[in-house]
Parts: sequence; C-alpha cells; structure tokens
Amino acid sequence: MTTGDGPRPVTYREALTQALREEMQRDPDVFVMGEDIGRFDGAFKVTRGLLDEFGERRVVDTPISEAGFTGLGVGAAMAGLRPVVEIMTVNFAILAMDQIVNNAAKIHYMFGGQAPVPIVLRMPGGAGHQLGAQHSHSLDAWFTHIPGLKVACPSTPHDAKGLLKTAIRDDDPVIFLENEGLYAKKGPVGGPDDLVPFGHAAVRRTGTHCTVIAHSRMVWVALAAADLLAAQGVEIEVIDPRTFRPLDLDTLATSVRRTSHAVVVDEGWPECGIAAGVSAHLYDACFDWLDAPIGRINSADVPMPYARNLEQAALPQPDDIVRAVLSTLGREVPR
Amino acid sequence: MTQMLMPKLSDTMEEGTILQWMKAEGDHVTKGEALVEVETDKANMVVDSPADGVLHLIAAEGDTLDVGAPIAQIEESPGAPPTPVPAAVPSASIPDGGADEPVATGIPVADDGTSPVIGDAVTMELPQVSVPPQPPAPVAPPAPAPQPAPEGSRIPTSPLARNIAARADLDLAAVHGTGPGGRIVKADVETALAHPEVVVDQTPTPPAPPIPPPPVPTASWPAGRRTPLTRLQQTIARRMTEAHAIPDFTVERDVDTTALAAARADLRVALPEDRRPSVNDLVVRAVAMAVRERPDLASRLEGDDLVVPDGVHVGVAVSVPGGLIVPVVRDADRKSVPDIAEEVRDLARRGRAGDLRPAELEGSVISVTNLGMFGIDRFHAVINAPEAAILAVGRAVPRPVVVDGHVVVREVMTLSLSADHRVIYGAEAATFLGRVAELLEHPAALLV
Repeated sequence: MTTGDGPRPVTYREALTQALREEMQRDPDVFVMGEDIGRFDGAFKVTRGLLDEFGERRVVDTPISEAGFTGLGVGAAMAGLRPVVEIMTVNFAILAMDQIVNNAAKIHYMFGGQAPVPIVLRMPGGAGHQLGAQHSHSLDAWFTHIPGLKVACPSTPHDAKGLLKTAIRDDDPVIFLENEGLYAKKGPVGGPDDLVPFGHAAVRRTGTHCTVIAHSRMVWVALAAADLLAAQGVEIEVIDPRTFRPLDLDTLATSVRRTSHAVVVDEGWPECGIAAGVSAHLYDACFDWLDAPIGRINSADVPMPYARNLEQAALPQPDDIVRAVLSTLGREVPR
Repeated sequence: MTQMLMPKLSDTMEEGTILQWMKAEGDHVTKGEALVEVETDKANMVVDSPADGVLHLIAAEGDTLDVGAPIAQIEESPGAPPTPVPAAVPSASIPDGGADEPVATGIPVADDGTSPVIGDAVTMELPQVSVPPQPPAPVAPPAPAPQPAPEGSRIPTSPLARNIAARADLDLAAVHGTGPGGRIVKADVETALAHPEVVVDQTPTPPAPPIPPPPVPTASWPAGRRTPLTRLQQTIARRMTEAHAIPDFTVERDVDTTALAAARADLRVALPEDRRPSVNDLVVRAVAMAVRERPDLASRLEGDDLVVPDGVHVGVAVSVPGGLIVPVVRDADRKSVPDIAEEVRDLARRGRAGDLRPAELEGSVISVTNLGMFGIDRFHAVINAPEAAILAVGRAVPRPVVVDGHVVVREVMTLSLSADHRVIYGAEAATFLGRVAELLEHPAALLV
C-alpha cells in the first residue's frame, strides 16, 4: 500500500475509479471510452474526474453507438492500446454483441496469435430498480458462454478495484460485469499494486452444512440467507467465484466435497444459466460426494416485471436461498 | 396416453403420499372412477381417473411425491408400451414449439426444410444446421422420468450414501431412506452402520400399519432443537405402536427372594465373576423352565392359528445408547445358570457396542425386562410382538411381610406378567407366574 487509499472504506464506484486512475497513471496506453463518461462523469459516475486529469485524448466521449465504439475499442486494442470501454449498462451490450463475440473473442485465435485484443468492456447489470424488462438484464451467462473472453463479476469494492486492475493488465478481452445495486456498497480496497487474480474464488463465509455459490450482488443476498440459516443451526459456506472465465472449480469443488450439499445462486435466468453451468461442473467434479441434488436459485423465468412487488418476487431473495438450502439438506421447509 | 400427475388437493399442498391404488397395474379404468387415495397435508382424498384406458402405475403405494410429479399413465389404446415421460421441469420449462415449428437455430429455413444460402452468391454449406422438416425433438428431456419403478428395483440413493455403503459393504436394500422422496442419504447409511441390528429388521415388512402422525406442533409448543429419530428409534416407535393394538392384561405377584439372595451368595464361592448370575439371570432361567413346562405360554398368533414354538428362546431387554434392544438367549431351558449369566453379560456388552449379529436379536418367544437396578419396585411392560407375554421384574428389597401371623422382614421382588389375551387367558397367566415364583423361591430347582 503506497497511498492512503488502503484502509479507508470506499464505495464500489470509487474503487473502480481508483483502479482506472491508477492504471491510467501507470500505463499511458490505457484509455477510457464510452457514452457520457467524460463531461458527464459516466451514467454511474465511475469515471468522475478522469477527463480533468487525463484530457480528451484518454477520456473519450462517444456517440450513442455501442457497436461502433466497441469496434473502435477492439481495433485500438489490436493496435497495441489498452482500451477500457464503458457500455452504459449490460442491456446495451446486446447492440455490440457482434463486436464482442465475433471480433474481440475471435481475432487473437483466428490470426494465429498475431493480434491480441487487450480490451476491457465494463458494464453494470442487474435488476431491482424498476427499470423494466429491457433494462434489467443479468447476461453473465451470455458472455461466459463465449470461449476467447474472460468474465469477471466483482461483489465487493476490494474486488472491484483488484479485478479491474487485473483486467486492464490482461492481454485477453475481459467482460467486466458490475452491478447497479452495488455501486454504493462500501468496503476496504487495496493499493495500486494489489491485484485480485482471475480464477481465484473467495470464501465469503465458512460453514459445514451446505456450500452456497453466489457472485456479484447475490453474494450479499447469500450472506443474508446465511444469517437466517445460522439462526436455525444451519451453517452455509458462501463462495464467490469472482470470475467465470476462468472458473476456480477447485475451490468450489473442495467445499462441496466437504459439505456434500450445494446451492448455486445466480441473478440471471435459469435456462442454461450460470447456476446451470456451475452445477454441471460440480456434478462432474463431486458426484460421488453429493448427498443431494444441487439446488439452483435464479430469477424467475420471465421478462423482469416493472411493478416493484413483482420485481422483488422475481429476484432471488434471502428466503429463496434459505428454502433451497433446507430442501437440499432434507430439512423441513417452512411453507 | 394420459399422464396422471400428483394433484394439488389443497392450497398448501406441496407433496402427497400415495396411500392406496384402488386399481392395479394393467387394469382397465374408466374416466371418473375412483383410482387412488392420496394423503395430503390436510386429509386423505380419493382421486378419480382422468381418462379411460389401461392403467400403468409410476408411483408405488407409500411414495411421497411433489405436486405435479407423474404418478401414473393411462393408455387409451391398448398395446403401445408406456412411453417414458420426461421429468417434470417445474420452474424452467422450455416451450417445445409445437409440431410444425422448426427448431430455432438462428438460420432461416426454406420451405423445403433445406438450409438457405447465406451471403450473396457464395454458397456456404452448413449441413449441421439443416433442419429436418418434421419431428421437433422433444425439448430438453433431461432424464427419463423418475420411475419409482417396480418395487425394490431402484432405491433412490445419493451418490455419497452409495459410496459410503459400498465401502462398508452395506446392502442398501436394508437401509431406510429419510431424504426427500425417501432418498437414502449419508445420515441413513451412517445410522444403519451404527446400528447393524436394525438393518436386518427391514425384511420385507408387511405393509406397516399407518402410524398415527406425530401431533402437529401447536403455537403453545415452544420451539426447540429437532433431531431425527435414528433407525433404531424409528423401529422401536413402529413396533411399540404396533404393540398398542394387542389386547393385553397384566398379572402381578410378589416373590420372596430371600433364598435366592442366599443362593447367589453361595454361588460366588463356586463361580468366576463373569459366570455369577444376577437376579435377572435367575429369572431368565426360571422363565425358561416354566415355558418348557407350559410352552403354550410362548405361543404366537398367526391368523387363526396358535403356533407353539419348538425352542425356548428368551429375550432379555438391554438398554443401549439412544434406545433398547432385546438380544436372545437361545434354548435357555437347556442352559445352566452360569452359562446364561455369561451369555447375557456378553450379549449386553456387545449390544451396547452395536456388535450383535442379526440372529442374536431374533427368535425370542418370551421376554424379560428388568428395571430393578433403577430402584423401580414394579412396572408393566409392552409386549414384544410377536411374542405373547413379557415379564417385568422390579427390584428385590427387604420388605415387611406376614409369615405365620408375624410381621417379618424378607427380601421381596414384584413380578408383572403382561400377556396377549388372544393367546393367554387369566388363569393360565396366573398359573405360569406362580410357577416362576415357585422356582425363584426354591433356587436349588433352578440349578438342576
């Protein structure tokens, strides 16, 4: 820790700003680009102050043109720069999927390794703010599906900073999935050289009865569930994979082999989702240690409702996890 | 083919138990006919057949299934074999598109079902996405239906439980599953391994009479720690409940054990410690001798027959951690008192250690149970079915008794014989108990 940033709790938002600023100071090839990120400080204020500090050449406001500026970023990365592209929300990344899937993820592979694409695509996702069905996506599974991408989804300010720095220094394209519900979350962060490596899960709480795997905002939902379960004498182990490409299956499987029970939580939809994919890995790795089928908790398999009560009902809540854990353990599930 | 699912019979019902199929596999059923009795959280209800046809059972009697789980199929056109049902995918169903829609691949499909040309004039062969015009593949059939198939053919078992059982060489057929849907889970295997004697008890038990459910916790019942019964405790609970149906009665009498105490003192001189009889060992011997003289006391009722056993095997109740077992002294009438003493000691020790073989827990024709060591003067025991009688032994203590018109102090013990009145009548029970008392009051007779 070389600055005073360390012990002072900062918000998830500010942790991301620190990572950007420090990496831009460290490496002149790093630049940021996106809609409203300069003069407006970004829709979620993650790039606040960067325009003043680094100027218009390194803090680039773009038109509303996701496919265009994502492609621009891919090209800049191929040419040797390290672009950090902000897509205002994951919902708008859908417009840039061709650039992401067909170019960012493929070019290094298709041209014999001659042109790595060290781009970072930051985007917040998640629901819970009554933004309607079109603006409430959790598309983590979409990106995790694609070989050639790396996918990080920080749940804490510490990881937001450490993972973003790792992403910027990584030579592969990284999809960096933030969560709108976490920007105000406060916590300690590391210094300029404290990186959080990809492919290393974090154990957020230890327990012996059941392993609960959750990422991003769902980590906090799982921890709330852990408190409720502890009151009933059930201790769950909460593990945050932090990245899905690469996935730290070892840490997950080691825990599941010890508890013999697992529940995977994911804010995305159930079909072919993160929970389904992680469960499949665990069935392969832990089949002979499992004492019950792996539970899966997802958002309801519907377009996200707008009405607050329906939206909350559709999202995974602590009580959903409590029920899934009790059910997996064969205990009586309250009606 | 009509699929019959576990119906939701109340607002709160989440699962139901098949109590009874009123029709058998292969029977022809008609729509509206009473087909199955289902136990819900509220009540038992009869469910009618949803269609005409031939019944194919999926769920067996006793199975507990979630609402919406397949329980039977009704085949309208006889002949075709029942098709496997895709497992219910409750929260995550994929629409299957219907018969005429091609499977969506993202590639437009020409009317003739071939792949179109992509791009301008460049023909790209994409054989892997050519869509056969017809049968839409049944979407996502993850696994064949959970077929709670022909009895005993597959026991739902968690992989972990199966693994532990395999390593311990434990036959899962003998393990009772307490997990969801009756799945054998780790705890069940561990219980079975910890209580080997209980495992064998699981011979195809006749359809156990329904045990009244435990009282539903009411608001006045304080919350507390919940511990599942061990397999042993479950077995005891079941058998005690069954025994409650026996019309029993009890006869009691006091036995003067002054001479017995003296005999025990004398035997100390002659026998090594592990062969010296306790009072209970002498009671076992007396009971065995009395049964040999009156073997009908040890009859068992089988249908409308009384079966008089050939051997006099006496069960001895032994308290073990978390329960009670009844190891058996075989042919106790032909064993000497020191032999019985040594054997009972060994059975009790191994019983507490969970080391008894199944055969050592089976075949008793009458049982002896003793709470004298706990300071109990007298008690009435529950008959250990299918036996017809059990002798409860209280403590032997000095008491004032009247002898020849004078109050004197004698050592006295109370015996209580509980008997199945369908097999044993009052006079017989009294005579039998009198004979046991007589033998105990003349201990030399026990040593012949």
